[in-house]
Amino acid sequence: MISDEALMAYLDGEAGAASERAIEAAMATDPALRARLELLESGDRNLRAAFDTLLDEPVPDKIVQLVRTQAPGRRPAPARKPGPAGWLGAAADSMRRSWGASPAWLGWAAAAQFALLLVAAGALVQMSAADRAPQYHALGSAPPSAAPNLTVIFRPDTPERALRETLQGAGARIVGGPTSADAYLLQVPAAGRDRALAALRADAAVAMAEPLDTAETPR
Amino acid sequence: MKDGELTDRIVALLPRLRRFSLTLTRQEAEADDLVQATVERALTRLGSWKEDSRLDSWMFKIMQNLWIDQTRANRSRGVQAAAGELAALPGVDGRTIMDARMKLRTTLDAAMRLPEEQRAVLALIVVEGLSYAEAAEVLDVPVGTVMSRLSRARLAVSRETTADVHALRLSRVR
Repeated sequence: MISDEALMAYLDGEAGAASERAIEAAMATDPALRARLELLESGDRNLRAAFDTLLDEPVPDKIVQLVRTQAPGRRPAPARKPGPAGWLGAAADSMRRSWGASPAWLGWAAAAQFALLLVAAGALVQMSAADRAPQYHALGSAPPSAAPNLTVIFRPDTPERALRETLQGAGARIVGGPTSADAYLLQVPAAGRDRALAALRADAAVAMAEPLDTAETPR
Repeated sequence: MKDGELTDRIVALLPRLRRFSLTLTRQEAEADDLVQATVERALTRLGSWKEDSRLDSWMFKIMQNLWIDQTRANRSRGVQAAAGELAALPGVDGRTIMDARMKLRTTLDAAMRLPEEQRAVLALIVVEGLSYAEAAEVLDVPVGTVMSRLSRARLAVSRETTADVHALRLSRVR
């Protein structure tokens, strides 16, 4: 009797030469085995067609724009690595969106005001990225992970020093962002998350601070 | 590789990344957030992608790890998965569906009811065409585990879809 797993490995081209020969020899004389294989094949065709229906909906444009604006071709100089360059574009985009039909230069002028902060924030992002190794941790390995658990939006006129002090005061590291909504993704130790959140919310430099892992729970 | 070419490759991958994200999250809004987080992380780590390896596998792995982190965080805080989450998938809205379409719907529903680890294996191997070794690398499990999960997943879906689809459908509609 050929096991389901062996038959599937054959179907998937993973059986190896010896097992392949054995299965083909058995199939020549065993119609039931052929029927099992055909059932598996038609099941797979069905699954592929079913999952293809998930491709029907377009990918949200903001994600496409994220790739287009932050892709590697757009980081010629250290100060314009992905984060800040992306944010600059995203900031301009969001300005244009929120100001409706305002001329494009308005958005760029506003974005330019962010530039200083961007460079500082960009340096932070890069530094924290450099700290962060290894890239992946195994399924069973222990936390803490570098996954962001807070998101914060700073007030646009925040000086770099205030930003730094705010983050240090909350014990937070920037691990991602800025997102297209100008939010930074922060990571704080899980135990201190609520305290950090309260500290951020109380800070004058912070326009908004939200936990990232309670999206579904009503506040 | 030219930078613009890599950008185009990532953009071309987005629909499949979103599909895998839907498979993991079973929730559209959450799926889009996960795709975005995956793209953001991938873009900051392009240096660690080896040009001679599969870009899709590499990005699936980033997505899988982000999802594990997120579900682990939710679990440790006691957040339960939203009830009725399947209903949020695109297309499940009670419209009259033609038979062929309904067959696909039934298949997708059956796949989405599988435990998460089986859904992921099924999606990576049967749908996305990864090898057993590549799927094992994405999921960080041994190849033998991939094989047994794949076997259970295929058999479970096939049991459900060869049953009476009308009965299945009725049992799902409240």
